[in-house]
Amino acid sequence: MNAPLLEVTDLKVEFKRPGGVVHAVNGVNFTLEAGQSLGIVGESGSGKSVTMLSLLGLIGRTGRVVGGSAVFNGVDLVKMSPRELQDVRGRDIAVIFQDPMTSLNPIMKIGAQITESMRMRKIYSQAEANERAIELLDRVGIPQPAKRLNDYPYQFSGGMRQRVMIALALALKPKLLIADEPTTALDVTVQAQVLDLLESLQEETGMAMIIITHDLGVATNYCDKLAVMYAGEIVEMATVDRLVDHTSHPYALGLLNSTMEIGHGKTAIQPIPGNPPSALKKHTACPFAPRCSFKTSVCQERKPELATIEPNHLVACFHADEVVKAAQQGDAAAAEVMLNVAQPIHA
Amino acid sequence: MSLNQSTPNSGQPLLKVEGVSKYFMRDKSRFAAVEDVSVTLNAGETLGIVGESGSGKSTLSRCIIRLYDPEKGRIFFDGVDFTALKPKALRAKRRNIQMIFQDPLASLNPMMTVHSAIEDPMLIHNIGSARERTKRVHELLELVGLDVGAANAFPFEFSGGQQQRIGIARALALNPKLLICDEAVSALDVSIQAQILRLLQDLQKQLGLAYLFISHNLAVVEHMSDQIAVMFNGKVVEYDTVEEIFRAPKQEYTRNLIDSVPKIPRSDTLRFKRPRLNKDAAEAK
Repeated sequence: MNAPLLEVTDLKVEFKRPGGVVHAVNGVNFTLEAGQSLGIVGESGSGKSVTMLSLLGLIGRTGRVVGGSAVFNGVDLVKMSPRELQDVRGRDIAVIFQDPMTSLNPIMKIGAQITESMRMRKIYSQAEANERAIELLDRVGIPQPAKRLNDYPYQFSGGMRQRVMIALALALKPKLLIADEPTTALDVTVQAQVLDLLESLQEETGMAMIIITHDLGVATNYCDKLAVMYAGEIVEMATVDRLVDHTSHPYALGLLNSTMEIGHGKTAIQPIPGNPPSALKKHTACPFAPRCSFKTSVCQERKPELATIEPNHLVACFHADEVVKAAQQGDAAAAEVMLNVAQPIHA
Repeated sequence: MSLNQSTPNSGQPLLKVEGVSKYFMRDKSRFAAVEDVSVTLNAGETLGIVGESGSGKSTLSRCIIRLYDPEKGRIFFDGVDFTALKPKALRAKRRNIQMIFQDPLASLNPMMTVHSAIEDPMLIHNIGSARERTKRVHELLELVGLDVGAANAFPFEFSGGQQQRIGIARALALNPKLLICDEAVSALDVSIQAQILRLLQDLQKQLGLAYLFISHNLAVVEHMSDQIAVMFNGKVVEYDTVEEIFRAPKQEYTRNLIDSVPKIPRSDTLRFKRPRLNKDAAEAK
């Protein structure tokens, strides 16, 4: 078998802050095959963005990878010099961010921004680069692409700006596209359009994709495999089918229940109670225990390891069996609700 | 529901919007941001307003509290014609309508402690003594699920979800009858979104509040609303009970909004649904 495109092993990232050391990523392991799409799901502060951005040297001066490796295409990204990383970014691995307005240069025409990476690496002449930019804009669904090369970012709507970002990211045909909350700032209708576009581009180019999102609705529809992160660790990782039908970590289950779906009517929402823990201390017990309805004394004494319960399904929970049962009962109830008209909340 | 019956104005809606239009100038021509909109909202219930960016949802809500003066139409709140009120009478009456916004941090004054932010509406309307107001601030903090200790902190010290709770506490300070939630959870993570929505549901039950709930996300609106108005290009294109909108959307546009919400691909749900469909199909054969 071929080696995976990306293999991350025991990755640890810390930030130095006035209040102490922030343990943002605490030993993350995953692999990504060429052409595969992985969803990294979790709430703000769970370490999902930091995990990916740290691999590309994009975590600023206070952040530091303190352990582990990330072998991409046979080379360890963690050991690379900034100059070597500069070469990887954009060419082999491209990133699109949540807010296209702040990630595009507001005083530079979008044509110049899209061709910048091509010109910098002297792969194309200016004319060829322009040709390619028009081709890319056309592909991402921007009408009259040749004319719009001379426009500035403010002349585009939010959805169109994100399309420009995608064109820019694809300029050098990357092997891996990292999409960090690509549609969080967009309306649901535009979100669906942008995600559909990303999916078809992925099929066309065969690139691998990592979608970082807090929204399981997005992740389950556009990824092959999901990693759910909590407090800087992966707590459950599985194929989408497996994760949805055999949800085994209480936090993943809580996220599923928090996801707003159509067909429930005015029903009481079941959120996860409480707040995520501070990243300033290291966890010796299960970090989710304080918010967990399945917790027993063991959860407060030891930390569950991420263990394989089925091929392609890993979970870090002492009570995974009970969670699966509860999840499946919940699903049946949810299905019942969706079929019948929902119970009104204040009946 | 029981609170509905106890309000003196039961029988007539709390809010009645009649043929409201609001125009703006764009590229030297007049365009209708809101055109001929008529909706009603009963006390203790929720009216969801859904549509894409630019469909006129927020403009409509601003007309309702008269941050904008609508060019046409009338707005009745609690039996009073809002559009005809003089500024002083409007201010007195308007305290019964409060708003919460999309960006909780931007809607809180960064230089004011949480205590003064929540107390401010009471000061403006000259309510209570300092001690009574402090007591009320603490009550409100508890009501929205925050620690009383939060009173002395500044907004930036809180997470997005907590900031939104502070915004809600401030909005509730004057015991309003109607809360306008303009994309109130759109900037929040899914897990925090669920917490805030649940808080709003509980507060509605507890206090008999009516909500005008504005969002681009139909799934969120569905969980909160009794009635839904779908807006497109300034007009209400579909207006019905939640059940009807989802059972049989009449507009392609509404259908599109429904389809845009990602559905979690549960095989259990599908297994549950499929037999019925297949059974029907089998019977049809």
